[in-house]
Amino acid sequence: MSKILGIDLGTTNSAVAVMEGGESKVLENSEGARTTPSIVAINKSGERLTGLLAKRQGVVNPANTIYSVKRLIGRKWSDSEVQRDKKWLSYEIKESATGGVEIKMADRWYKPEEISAMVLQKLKADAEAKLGEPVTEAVITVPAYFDDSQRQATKNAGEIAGLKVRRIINEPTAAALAYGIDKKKEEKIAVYDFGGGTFDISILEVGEVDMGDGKKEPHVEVKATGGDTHLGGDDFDKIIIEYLVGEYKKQEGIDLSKDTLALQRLKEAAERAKHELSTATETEINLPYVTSDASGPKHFLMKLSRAKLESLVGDLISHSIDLVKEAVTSPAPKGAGLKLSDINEVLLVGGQTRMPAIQEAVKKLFNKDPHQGINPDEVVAVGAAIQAGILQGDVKDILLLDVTPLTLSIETLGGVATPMIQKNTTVPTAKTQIFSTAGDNQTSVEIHVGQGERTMMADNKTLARFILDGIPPAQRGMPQIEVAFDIDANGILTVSAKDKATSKAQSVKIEASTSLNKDEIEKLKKEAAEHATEDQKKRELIEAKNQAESLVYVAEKGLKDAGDKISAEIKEDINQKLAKLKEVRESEDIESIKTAANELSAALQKIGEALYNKKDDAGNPSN
Amino acid sequence: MTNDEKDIKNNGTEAEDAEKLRKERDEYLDGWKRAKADLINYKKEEVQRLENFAKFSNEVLIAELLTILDSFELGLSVVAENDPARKGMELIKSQLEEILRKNGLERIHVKRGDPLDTNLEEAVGEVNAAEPPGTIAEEVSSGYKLHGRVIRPARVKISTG
Repeated sequence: MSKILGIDLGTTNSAVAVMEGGESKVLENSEGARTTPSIVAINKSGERLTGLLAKRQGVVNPANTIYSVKRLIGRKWSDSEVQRDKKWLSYEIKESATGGVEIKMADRWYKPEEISAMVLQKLKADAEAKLGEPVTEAVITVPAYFDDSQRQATKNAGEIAGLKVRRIINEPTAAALAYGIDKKKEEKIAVYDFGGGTFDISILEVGEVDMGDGKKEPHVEVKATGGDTHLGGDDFDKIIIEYLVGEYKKQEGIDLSKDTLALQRLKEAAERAKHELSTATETEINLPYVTSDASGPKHFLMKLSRAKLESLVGDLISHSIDLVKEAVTSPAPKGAGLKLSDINEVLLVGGQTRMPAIQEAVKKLFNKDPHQGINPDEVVAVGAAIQAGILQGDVKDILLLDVTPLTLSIETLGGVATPMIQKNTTVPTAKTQIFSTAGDNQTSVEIHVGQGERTMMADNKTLARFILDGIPPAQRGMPQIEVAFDIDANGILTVSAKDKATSKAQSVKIEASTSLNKDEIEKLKKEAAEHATEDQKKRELIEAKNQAESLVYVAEKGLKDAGDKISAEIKEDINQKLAKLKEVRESEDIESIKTAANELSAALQKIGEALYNKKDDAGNPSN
Repeated sequence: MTNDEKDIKNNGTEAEDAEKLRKERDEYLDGWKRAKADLINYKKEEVQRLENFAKFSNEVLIAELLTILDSFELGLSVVAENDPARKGMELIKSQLEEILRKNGLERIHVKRGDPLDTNLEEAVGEVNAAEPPGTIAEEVSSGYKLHGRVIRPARVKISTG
């Protein structure tokens, strides 16, 4: 079954998301961006452009570049909104035969839904390219205040674009879906949506409705909407630019607003400054050679603080807050007729809500931390995708896979817990690793299986112990013992050990390795965090000890093998250092173990050198 | 109930059971195949994603460095040809350009008199010029591609004739 797209068809920008493997994913367009300008144009050579490409020529082709069509879709010509917008739109609109709106692009008149369909067509084509499969269905979002005719027109736009519109959902509802709070019972939610060109506030009530047969389904009801259709993030940018131009004029007496290049650079710098001030408290705007006068080149260098920015746009923010108050507290139908304290959850939508001053203002108003975490530019598309997933049956994923709550380990030399399966690994899973013996002629190994995050096995919970014997006598490190951990979908852990030489194997089954109770898991995790540094030190010490031990083994073997081939002097030196290492290796002093080991290791190299020299001497008698 | 009837009934339940099991088996096999396919597809996508990540991980940094290149261009445009400081500035600029070029940056070449190509260029205004109306009259700021993808279009002015 092909995927259903979740589409946020915005006034300024649009975004598309789909469900994939139970997770929502925002799709990039053909230009590699995650949002697409909702703009369509016909250029001078009669070619139709959509999205970013249409935007790039808007300045020189204003009459044939159609933007903000969402302000017109499904509206009557006589609507006060249309009459107001008519004055500032750069393209021509007229009343249609049926009393609606028609838009002129090149030499043809289009219905607003036809223009929206062109945007949707691009979104569909780019999504298909990204997914590598055709797409025929979509869920499209609209503002909560859209009436039936606006919703129908949006649906028609989808159908014109070749998409079966499975559902039209409200933008604030989509945001609630994205944050997963649609499932809560009897809650009132405020959705504060500050986009590029519009500001919307919606008050939702989430509850359950009886479906008649005793089954209850979650239901989201829009209690009130409000906002300002001509207030957005773009107004913030405009104010910053005006301020910068004004300041420069005061300082240098030069008006930068008349200079295309200077204004372009200033615009980019203002946007960057706005973004930077979301995290920093001050930023520098530095534009060398911004202009020149009779005295030579002039530069632009100015510091902008967050406090200054907030004072510049303070009026816009408080205006939005007034609108929120009105939507919550005014009696119906103007508002929801609620107290501010009745609101249980607050959601922030739209790129402008990244501004700390806005988050602060909203928090102060409701005395509640707003939900955050999902990219505010994408949250509506994500919610639409989740709705699409529900329709498709994706979200009701019957196959729930468990994860291992804690790390499963095996004890190795020195009592160290060596992880086999890390915590949070999705099951079923399996892992195999080869181990060996620690002593010469060791004929059995003990497999000690434990669970927990601590470095030393003694500090973790033991799940099982068993012995694999019958290993043929050999030097340490030679036998190959294959240890396999396998957890099936029911959380049953099977640990097996096999000697590769004899194929002799042993195994043990441990039920419910994933079903520790929550308190137990938390306790073990907490302990691990508390002891992290101490455990790390312990591990280092044991590693040093293990290394020392194997070095002692190598040294003793080396001395024996070399026999008379090395001088008594070298032997003496090695013996001395060997004795020193043996003396300190059982201590707890990691530094002296390391030093003694390094010294012995250096001395041992002399055996090699001596043997090679001997060889050379033997092979070359003339020396 | 006669024995025959019992047999028929048993056969009926067995057939139902078998049908149920067959259905279950098909469902599980299908789920398994899907899960496996999902993983294989994910791995493929991941390889591509990592390749792209490696290619474009510098994009933010490079895009910011473009403002320095712009400043160099503007700076050089006001320094006289015979100014002794000019050569040094030019060399620093080409040093920077060379580093960016090695990292996949490529300048978009704009030709006056060509029609506007919005794949590569953005119109920022109009100007009265000798070029045919509707064609590019002036490059206001340079555009760049990173590994073939436009990271900033060239900003141009269009001739009104």
